[in-house]
Amino acid sequence: MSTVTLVSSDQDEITISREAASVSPTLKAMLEGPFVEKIGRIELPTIESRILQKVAEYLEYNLRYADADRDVEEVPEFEIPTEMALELLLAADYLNV
Amino acid sequence: MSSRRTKIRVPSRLGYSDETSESLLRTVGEAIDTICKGESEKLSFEHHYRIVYTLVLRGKAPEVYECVQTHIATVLDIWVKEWGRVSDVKDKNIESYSIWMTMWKRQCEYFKLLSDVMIYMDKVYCKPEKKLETYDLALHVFRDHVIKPLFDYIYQILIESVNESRHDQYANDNCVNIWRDSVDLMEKLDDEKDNYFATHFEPIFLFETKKYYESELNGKNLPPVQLLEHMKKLKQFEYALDCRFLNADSTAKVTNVLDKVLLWNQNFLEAAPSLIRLAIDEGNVDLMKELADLSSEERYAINILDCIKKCISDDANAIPIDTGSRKKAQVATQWTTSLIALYDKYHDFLKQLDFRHLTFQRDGSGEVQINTKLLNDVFSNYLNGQGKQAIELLTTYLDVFLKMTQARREVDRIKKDLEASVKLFKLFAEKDVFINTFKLQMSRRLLQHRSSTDVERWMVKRLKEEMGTFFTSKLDGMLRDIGTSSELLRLFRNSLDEAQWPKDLDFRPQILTMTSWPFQPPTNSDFELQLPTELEQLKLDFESFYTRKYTERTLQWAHNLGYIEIGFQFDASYHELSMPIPIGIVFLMFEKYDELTIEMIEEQTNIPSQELHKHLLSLTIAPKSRILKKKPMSRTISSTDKFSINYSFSAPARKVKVQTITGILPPSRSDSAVDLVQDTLKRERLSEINAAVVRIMKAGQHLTHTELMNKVTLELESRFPLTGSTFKKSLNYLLEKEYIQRDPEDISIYHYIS
Repeated sequence: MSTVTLVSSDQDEITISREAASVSPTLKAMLEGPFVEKIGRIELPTIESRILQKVAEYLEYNLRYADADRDVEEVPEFEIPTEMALELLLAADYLNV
Repeated sequence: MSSRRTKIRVPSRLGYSDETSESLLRTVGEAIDTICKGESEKLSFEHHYRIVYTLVLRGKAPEVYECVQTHIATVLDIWVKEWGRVSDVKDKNIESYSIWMTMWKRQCEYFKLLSDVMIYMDKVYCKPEKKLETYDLALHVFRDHVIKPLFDYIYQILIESVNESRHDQYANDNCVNIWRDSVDLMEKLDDEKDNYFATHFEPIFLFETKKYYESELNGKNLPPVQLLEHMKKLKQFEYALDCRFLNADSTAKVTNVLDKVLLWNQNFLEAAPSLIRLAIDEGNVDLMKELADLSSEERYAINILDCIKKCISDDANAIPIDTGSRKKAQVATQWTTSLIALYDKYHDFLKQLDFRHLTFQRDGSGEVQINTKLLNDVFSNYLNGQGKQAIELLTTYLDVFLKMTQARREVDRIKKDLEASVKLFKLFAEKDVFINTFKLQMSRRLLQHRSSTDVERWMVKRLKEEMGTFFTSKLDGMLRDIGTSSELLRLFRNSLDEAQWPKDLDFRPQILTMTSWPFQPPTNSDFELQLPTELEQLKLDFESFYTRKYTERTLQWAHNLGYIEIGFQFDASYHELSMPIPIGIVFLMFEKYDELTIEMIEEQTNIPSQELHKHLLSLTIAPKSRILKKKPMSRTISSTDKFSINYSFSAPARKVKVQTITGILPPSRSDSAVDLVQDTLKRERLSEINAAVVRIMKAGQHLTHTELMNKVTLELESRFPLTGSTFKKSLNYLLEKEYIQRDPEDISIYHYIS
């Protein structure tokens, strides 16, 4: 399974699966198009490392549980630290998730 | 809680905050150009996405939107100019076009990329504002700036190329791919309510297809069979071709257009009847099916059916009727047999075809197969076109075969021949005439015991099944009388002593219910006929026996209908002579006399002289039964003639039937007999119409003339065709008798008077 690297504003690199990244239509378009991002390295200079970490976490979480049947397995709550709430909201809007 | 809330960090804006919107817009414009050139790998998606994001957040979405529109337009316009330059060089063929096509296809892919970069604008601006999303916007621009101005070239190139393939009956994949790409592209472009392909290209394509095939066929002058083959080939090729680059809907439309061209061009319209003729003559069901399946169009099917009808009708009319021949029975048998054979042939043939998809059966009787209906219609037309002759021929046929059952041999085979004709009965419009004729012949058969009563019964049952009890009640009555008569004979014999029964005499009384039989009531000559003593005694005995049994009934003797059989030894041979009773009485007189004059006979028998003339003619000049000699020998009877037995008489068969001569009778008499039949028929029909009108008016109360006439026609359809004049006659009668009255306001409306 191929992975992609997300680069935060402070140059932290976070690697997630291509599949998880594709949960965001914005990231998906970046990866699939013929743009510079097609190599699998996406710079997101507006998102701080802390937030990007959480975003990556969410993308994996969404990929894992989006199609889950709540009767069959237990879906854990996705923890959002309160202080990050607004920043995450903006990031979510930006990434269209 | 409150302490934690203070910890929420207020994020900085994600977008560019340090550049002016103008500068950002310029960057967007440049990016669009780059993407449209296919050089997007130079660009950072994220970077431009973020610019659009920033601009949209700043409320500059309308400006971005416009920027997209103008930049695409500019890029495309340059191309169109390029095209113009190329097309000047007369390089407008499918190969050069294919290069353009490839470029356009790629362009549309770039639009897709562009729209990806614009996702945020689509989401936040276009959707809520009900604007076209970026991709659709780009396609619109493409449509208006490329396809619209170049459409004339495009379709000419495409159609030229398609027609070339049609001509070669071969299409290489390259061409087909280009066509398909073009179609796909045009289908992608919205236009009015449909896509560009459907609104602009398809109509032209259909028109050109029609044009192409019209000229293709008009140049050809093929014989019918080859023409059909050719058409099939064209259809097959075109269909296969269309499937490769058109959607199913358009393919169906092309097929439809092609059908119209192929099936309705002069060549095929002229060939179709001969092809159908061929299929029928050869019994070639496959060919017929092929013809029928060429189109599912109703109009076409009707045309085919009409051709079939014409064939049937031609064949029917070709059956010879030898009206000149004296052998009526033979003519009738030949004609009927041919007709039945023809019916069966077509029935078997049509059975294998399926016209069930046709919905134009007006009578709504889904059970009746259209094939049978068609056949019956044609035969009905034919039979009714032949007038009374057809009825006579068919009843004679029945008569011939029923008479064959007298010998009680091969009854099953004869039944089969009779059965075969049953299907024709109900095709007569004048069913009453048919039944009347049949009844007359049946009465003769029954009285003369010329057929098997069992088969007669079976025949009547079949008639009943085919035509209803209305027609057969009197036939049943006749059969009942025959049954009762033989039972009475048995009882009568038992009631007499052996000594009372006359020697050498057989007696078969036939007691007929007057209303069931198609005869005139007994006449004076019947009452006054002087019988020989022995017969007179028998008559009196039977009368007293009958009156004892049925005190309430009166018995009248109808000697004219009775038959007598007399055995006589002539010089050369012995014969059993069968003749009507009055003639028999005349012949029996020669037991006592060697020679008689008319006067003597008249005196002793009480036969009125006119009838006696007729009887004597039958005995002297009928070619097969010259039992009496006449002096002098001449073809007329005069009062001075003298009669004696012709001992030299001989005939091939033992049984001789004395023919009743009618031909030499004064014409007025035979006419009046025909008139009588006609009058009875008219009277019967009139009373039927009266009854029907009263029934319908009683139910409907108020009806217009036309409504009433339609209903009555329908009601009487199974019996005879209604004519305007008899209908009027009936109405006048009913108006006069005050069963119905005209509306005082509107004379076309009738009211029922209860």
